[in-house]
Amino acid sequence: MKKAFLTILILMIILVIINLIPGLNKGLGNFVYTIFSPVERLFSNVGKEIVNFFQVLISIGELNKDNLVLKEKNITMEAEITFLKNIQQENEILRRALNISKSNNLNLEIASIVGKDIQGLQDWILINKGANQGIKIGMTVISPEKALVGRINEVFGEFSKVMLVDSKDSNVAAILENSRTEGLIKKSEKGGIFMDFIPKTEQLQIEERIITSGTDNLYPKGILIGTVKTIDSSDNQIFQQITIAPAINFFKLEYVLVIK
Amino acid sequence: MKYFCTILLIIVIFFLQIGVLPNLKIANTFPSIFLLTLVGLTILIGWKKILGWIILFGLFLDFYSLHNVLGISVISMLLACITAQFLNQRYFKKENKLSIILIFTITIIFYELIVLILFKVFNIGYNFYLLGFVTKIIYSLILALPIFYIEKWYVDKIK
Repeated sequence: MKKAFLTILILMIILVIINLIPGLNKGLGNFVYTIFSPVERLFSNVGKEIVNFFQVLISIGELNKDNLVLKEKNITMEAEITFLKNIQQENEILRRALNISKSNNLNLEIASIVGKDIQGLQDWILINKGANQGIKIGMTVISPEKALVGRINEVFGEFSKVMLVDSKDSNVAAILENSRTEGLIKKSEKGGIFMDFIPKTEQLQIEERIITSGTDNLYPKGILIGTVKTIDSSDNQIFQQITIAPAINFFKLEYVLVIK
Repeated sequence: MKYFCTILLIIVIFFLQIGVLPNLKIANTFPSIFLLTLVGLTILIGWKKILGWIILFGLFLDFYSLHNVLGISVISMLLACITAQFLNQRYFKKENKLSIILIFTITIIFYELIVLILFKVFNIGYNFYLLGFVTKIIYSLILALPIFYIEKWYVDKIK
């Protein structure tokens, strides 16, 4: 009895010391991630393969595979179109107003995903680039298809935690690409993301692209977030609400780009 | 044999928690195999004998969380295991399926509440969704009995 409580007491003291000494927690975190990340990645990949295998078995064989490939291609193309459209729009405005051309060179850092939330409490991923590679808190993270992934939330020496765009704590200022309607993107209770407070006078279209507006000063303007999935404009509501189909499947992400 | 079984069980638990369950979300939630394992072992052999497991799983969860307060999961799991043993010794002494399910139910709810309170105390962002909370408990209970009986087999093997 005494031994168990003595162990708990010692454990508590150690935990308090670790939490109080600046940098010790992060140093330990870096050490743990260095050791466990390959194991976590292996388990995650094997698990994903097993689940995918059963999903393919359950679904209609090859049709499902083709569908997934086409969807991925579609996402890549949509993201590319949005990115190019936005650059074009920006260039046109600048050319007209200032009569100069502007290049949109982004300083990107490629990182691979080495860990993720295993509790399901918060949606985040762990990437293998950290302070030593110049990563800082608040930097925007995008997918290789230039769709929004999230932003850097915590930085270690060799690793960083990225809060995903569909996280419960994430609020992204967004704009519908065609109607130019602005709103905030949040996570819904059921797990998806939605955009709220859209006036009923706004004409919205299904599959209209949604991009970052940049007004929150958190994310750069013009990054693809997703497309309009459903529009809820029922009479008992003052505003319209839309659910969003994210541009990327976070479970299938393997690499990301950090905008420095 | 004892060490082989223990290592095998730990690998399987980690694999399920990291590799399988995040791909099988229901209402954006999935159970904590770590918690279910610890509660099951507590019922079978008591929390003091699995203190090392509690520290290992708790610290792992703390490192793999978005917060930077080390110890929240360790304390939550420790309190949950103490509660499970208290319920087992005081109110559900007979080992039958109903009593096991009741111990798991109360302990899981207690654990989730402790996590919620500690997150609030340390000002860590965690929005509570009733739908997710209820789904997580039901989802956990579906897995609780199979895990308990696997652990029972494991405990018999290492004796």
